[in-house]
Parts: sequence; structure tokens; C-alpha cells
Amino acid sequence: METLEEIKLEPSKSTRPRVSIEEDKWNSLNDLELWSAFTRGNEGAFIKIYNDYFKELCDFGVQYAPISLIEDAVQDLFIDLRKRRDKLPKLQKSIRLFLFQCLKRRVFNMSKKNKIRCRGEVGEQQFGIIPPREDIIILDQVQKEKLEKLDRALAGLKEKHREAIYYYFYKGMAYEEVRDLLGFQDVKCARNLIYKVVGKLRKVF
Amino acid sequence: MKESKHNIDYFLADPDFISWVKHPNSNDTIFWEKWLKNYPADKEALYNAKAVLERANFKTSEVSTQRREEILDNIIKGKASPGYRQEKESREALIKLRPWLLGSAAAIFLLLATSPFFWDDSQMPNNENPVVSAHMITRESRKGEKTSFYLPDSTKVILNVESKISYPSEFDPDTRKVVLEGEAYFDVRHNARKPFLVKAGEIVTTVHGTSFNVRAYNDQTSIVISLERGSVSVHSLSNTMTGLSYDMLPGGEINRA
Repeated sequence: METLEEIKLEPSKSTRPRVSIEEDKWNSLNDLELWSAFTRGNEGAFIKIYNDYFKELCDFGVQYAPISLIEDAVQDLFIDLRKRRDKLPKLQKSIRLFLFQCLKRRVFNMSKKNKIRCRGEVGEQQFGIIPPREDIIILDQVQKEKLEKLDRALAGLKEKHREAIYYYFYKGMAYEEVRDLLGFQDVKCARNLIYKVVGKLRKVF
Repeated sequence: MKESKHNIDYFLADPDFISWVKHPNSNDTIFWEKWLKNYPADKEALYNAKAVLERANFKTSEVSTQRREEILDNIIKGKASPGYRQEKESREALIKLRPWLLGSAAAIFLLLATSPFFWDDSQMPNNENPVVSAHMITRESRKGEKTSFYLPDSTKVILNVESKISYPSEFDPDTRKVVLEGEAYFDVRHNARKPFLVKAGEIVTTVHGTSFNVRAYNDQTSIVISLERGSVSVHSLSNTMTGLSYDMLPGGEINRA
């Protein structure tokens, strides 16, 4: 495996970014290494991070606001990261967590300063639960009723609960990440919130 | 073989279970089938837990590769989005009309509120004109109800409670005109060749950008236009304000009381 020193390019002072066209190089790095390469000025690392997380960030952002706004937020976020790359805090856990935190903060600021209407304000739900398309026809009436009851229970959950479901179940994040994104002090709070949500859903069955 | 029965909590607390439901693969499936053989009493709980994970689905974004690359291009060039530029310059959010206009403007607004008229009859299709193929559509939202729909050009409108909007079934060739009573949020489909105009009371808002909100309820004397993205020009039809036009940028709000 190539060491970081071999992969690293000099910090780009030219106007044209130097892009690594060999994605394989980047795929062998873990989050910390990739982030480190980026913060030390590697443009290829920056572009890889952007391409890798763009879709996930947009998917997350549209829970709050229409895609046009989220595209703007993502654009500004990455401009900002690139500008301040050497001043960024050390990566705690994962690039994804860090980027999600940044985007969430940014959307909230946009909403306060520029009076942008987030979904909650224009009658649409934030973290709205959308049952999947019915690919299989459910012939069993009992099964169908159970699913309808489940769908109603999910839709009836409070926004914070749905947000927790998004992180923990839908994105498969760890309790620590749920804690960070929901702004809890203690991991216990995140865990208890998930238990509470599951407890509510258990009643459906 | 153990006889203990688990409930959905058990499965939902297992990251491997969650991972299997989200990303099914033959290895994991074999594992869980074996599990059920050892704990047959868990069958229902397992399937219920699986159902929870499958039904808890969320909306996703659809951004083309081209658009993603376009955005990356802007990022590399350091070109900020309009929203951000606005923030940086910290433009003042409220533009108030000068006081000497208020008296006459309010009277005119009340006058117009009682006699609805289209600012240029010849250009606005109406039911009485048999030659015109487009007809006027009026959408109203009831008390306590918001309604959202799309205009003929795919502009999205979210009509707030107790509001009414009129628009032609097909827009004119060179402009898109709608008449609003109440409050609506517009996400305007970009079309440089066909400006989008909203008439509310005697205020006409011309849109150059994308998203903005107009609040002009008949029983209130103020009209508030708030801009989210892009830019709009606002002018008044009343005589005393002829020629006065305000250009707004995102974050701006025009408040005419």
C-alpha cells in the first residue's frame, strides 16, 4: 500500500486544481487519512470527499428544505471547507458525521438569517416518513392491516423521534453520532431516545 | 436450544440486523435463517422488526451528475451561491416605503381590494373573450388549510390559509402572470424569456430568480414580499407611485403598510 507521502501532491498554488485520476489510490485510505490529505492541501482528496458525500448530504439536506436551497448550502459549505482547510478541527469520528453536522448548522443559519422557509414552516414535515413503493402486492389482509398500523404509528411520531430514526436506523449511525447530531451531552440520551421510539413502535404489534 | 422470546427491541438494537435489512446479502440471510431455526419463537418479532426498518423510509434527492459537477466547478472557482453572498454583505432585511406615501397608498389599496381588476385586460386571458383558448383557473385554500400545486410552467405554489390565486391554464407567450389574494410561497421555474409576475393588490412583483413569498391578505393593509433566492422587482400600479420600482435581493423583504 502506498504511503501517504507518496500519494500526496504539493499544495496547489496554481489556479488549475491537480486532480488524481486514479480513484483506487483514494479508496484504500480510511476517513482520517483522506481527511488529513485534504487538510494538508491535496485537491484530489478534496474532490474525492465531495464526490463521495455529495448525494448523502443532499439526501440529508432535503429533509429540511427544497433541493435548490440545499444545493446552495452544499456549494457554500465546500467552498468554506476548502478555504479554511488548514484551520479545520481534527476529525473526531467520520467524515460523514462532520459533514452532516456542518450542513445541519448551515441550514439552520440560513433559515434564521435569510428568512428561508424550511419545510416545517411551509406545511411540509421535516424528516417526513415515506413508506416504500409497493413492489410486492400484499395478499394477506392481516399483514396489510399490520403495515398500515405501522405506517400510521411512524407518521405520528414526533419530529425529533423521526430524526433519530433517520440517523440510527435509516443511516445506520452509532449512538455517539446520533448524540452529536441531536446535540445531546451524553450518549445515554441518544440511547434512551431510540429505546423510547422503539417502545412506541412495539405497541403496534 | 433456548426458548427465550425476543421482541422487536432486540433486533432493532443490533447493528448487524439493521445492516442486513438495509443491504441484504446471502451470507447474512443464512445467518438469520439459522437464528430462526434456533429461536423459532422469534419469527414474528424478527419480521416485525424488519417491517419497521423497511417502512421507515425517507425522501431522497435527485441531482444529476451534470449538476453535481457544475456545483463542484463553482466550488473550485470559489464562486459562492447567491444566498451566501447575501449573507456576507449582511443586507438589511426590511425596506420600508417612505411615510408620505403611506396615506394615499392605503386608500388606493382599499379601493382596489373592492374592485378586482387585471392590470392589463388585453393581455390577461379571461372568460368573456371567446377567441382566447386559455381559460382562467382559480385556486382557493380554505380556513386552516394550506394547499400546494404546480402552475402550467411547473412553478410550485404553496397557498397559505384563506388565500386565492388566479392564473391562466396556459401562460402568455412572453409573460407569466398570476393574481394573488392572501399569501403564497412561489418556487418559480426558471425561464429567462418569460418573466413571472405576481399581482397582489396593486403591487406587481416581477421575478427574476426563484423562490419568494407574497403576503397580501385583503383584510390587512400591509403587503409583505419576502425573497428567498434570485431577485425580484416590485412596482406599484397606483398613480402616486408610478415609476417607483424596488429591486430586491435574497434576504430582502418589502413591507408596504
